[in-house]
Amino acid sequence: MTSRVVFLSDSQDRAATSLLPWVMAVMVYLCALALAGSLSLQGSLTAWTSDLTHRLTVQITVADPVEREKQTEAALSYLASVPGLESAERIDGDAMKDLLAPWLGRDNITNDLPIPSLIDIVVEKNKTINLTAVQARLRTISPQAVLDDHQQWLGDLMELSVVLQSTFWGIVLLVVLATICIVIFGTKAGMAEHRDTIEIMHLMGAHDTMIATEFQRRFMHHGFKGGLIGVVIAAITLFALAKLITQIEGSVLTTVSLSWIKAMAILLLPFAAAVFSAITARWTVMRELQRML
Amino acid sequence: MISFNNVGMRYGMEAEVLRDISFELPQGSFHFLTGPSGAGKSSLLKMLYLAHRPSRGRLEMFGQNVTDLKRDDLPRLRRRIGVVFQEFRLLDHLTAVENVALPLRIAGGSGREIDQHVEELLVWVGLKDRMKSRPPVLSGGEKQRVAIARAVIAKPDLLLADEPTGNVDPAMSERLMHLFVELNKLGTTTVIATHDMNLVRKIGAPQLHLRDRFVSRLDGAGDII
Repeated sequence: MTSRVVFLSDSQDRAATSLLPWVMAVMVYLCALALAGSLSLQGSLTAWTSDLTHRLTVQITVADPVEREKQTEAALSYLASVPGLESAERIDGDAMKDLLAPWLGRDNITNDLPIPSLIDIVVEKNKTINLTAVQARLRTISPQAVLDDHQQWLGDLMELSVVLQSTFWGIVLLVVLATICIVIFGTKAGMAEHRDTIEIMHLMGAHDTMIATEFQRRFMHHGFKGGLIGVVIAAITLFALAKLITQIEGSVLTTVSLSWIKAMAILLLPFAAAVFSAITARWTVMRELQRML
Repeated sequence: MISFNNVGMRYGMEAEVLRDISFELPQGSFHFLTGPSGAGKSSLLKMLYLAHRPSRGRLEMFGQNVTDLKRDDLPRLRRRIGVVFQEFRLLDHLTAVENVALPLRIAGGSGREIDQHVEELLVWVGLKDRMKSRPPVLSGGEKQRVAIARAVIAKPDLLLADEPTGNVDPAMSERLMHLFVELNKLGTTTVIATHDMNLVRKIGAPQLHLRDRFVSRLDGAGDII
């Protein structure tokens, strides 16, 4: 059992590790952004998929407006008789204009523009629909009718999301590895600065654990301080990004958000940085001391 | 208590700085370590305060063979040794009191009792008004007295001192030697490296005399034993 003995000089420590909290701040900042990207994407993807899994869209693309109207009404009355559908509603003119406005501009959507009819179908939960049969029947009503179950779009989205998430986690991993290397270099620099003190402590009978504990405590402090700075700057950045995203009207990005629980996970980063720094510093000191008598 | 048996010592792959050293220091003995500069006094002391292992031969301290002692066992032995380094080696950012208290704190002590004990010793070595001073503002003689106080505070079984009276006036030198002698009377084995032959003659203790990397034992008058 050894009591804690404060024997390292603060001024020598500053000379060796003054920049460490700032480097840690950068690392935690990058880590927080990558983590926020990954976690928010994960949430958004769940929202998108759960929203679209139970939805179908019928598109009737006949140029003649009278014929289009006739076929749409026939399709709606057929869909009303299909079991397992919660609803089948036509997307009205105003809603269609809202959908097209970001792409064409609201003023360019005139009444003579041949816009296809869209029917939004909601499938009852836990019900399966024979899509091939429905599609075949719709084709008899309107040869140009298209039944879209969004699977192609969802598949592409999932693929992109997996790549993005893997990239974010890759960044987190690289940042953690770089942080460990920085702490190892910092600890070695600190030990070189305090070499004489360490030698004297050894000669007076100090155990390696006593010396390592003192370094561990200091690096834990550096890690927490840097982590705190990094997470505060990351929070400001994320807040600014969130503001910008909400200003993009009609974009899928508006569904990108971070729940409070996930945000709390990011707020824990300074503690994680402190623990990582402490463990790495202790391991480095113990390893280096083994080389001394 | 301490036994050197054909001990040799070298730094790295250099030639041996000490060769075939054999002697014994019984418990409670008092010896001066003498010899010209470069004879290997500091190297011999390094082995005694366990900063360097012998390159060959057998060194026993406190009943243990130091030559193949495990690294983890060294702190326990080092706590039984007090060392006064020639260059003092005080921690500059700690006060005199904190420097002297270090061996007790390393050994697990804490609290007011340590401070009181340390302060009493610093008063005794004439540093009553310098207790809260840090080494950079102390004179050479004051630093030396802090270093001596640090070496003796834990009442070590073995006291090693490298030129411990080199920077103090004759009166203080005598006072410090008196401290070493008193500690020795209480059972502390003492080895003092010095060039001061007047001091050696005055105390009259036997010498370990190093010359050309070999050691010989002389009595208080300087004759080979």
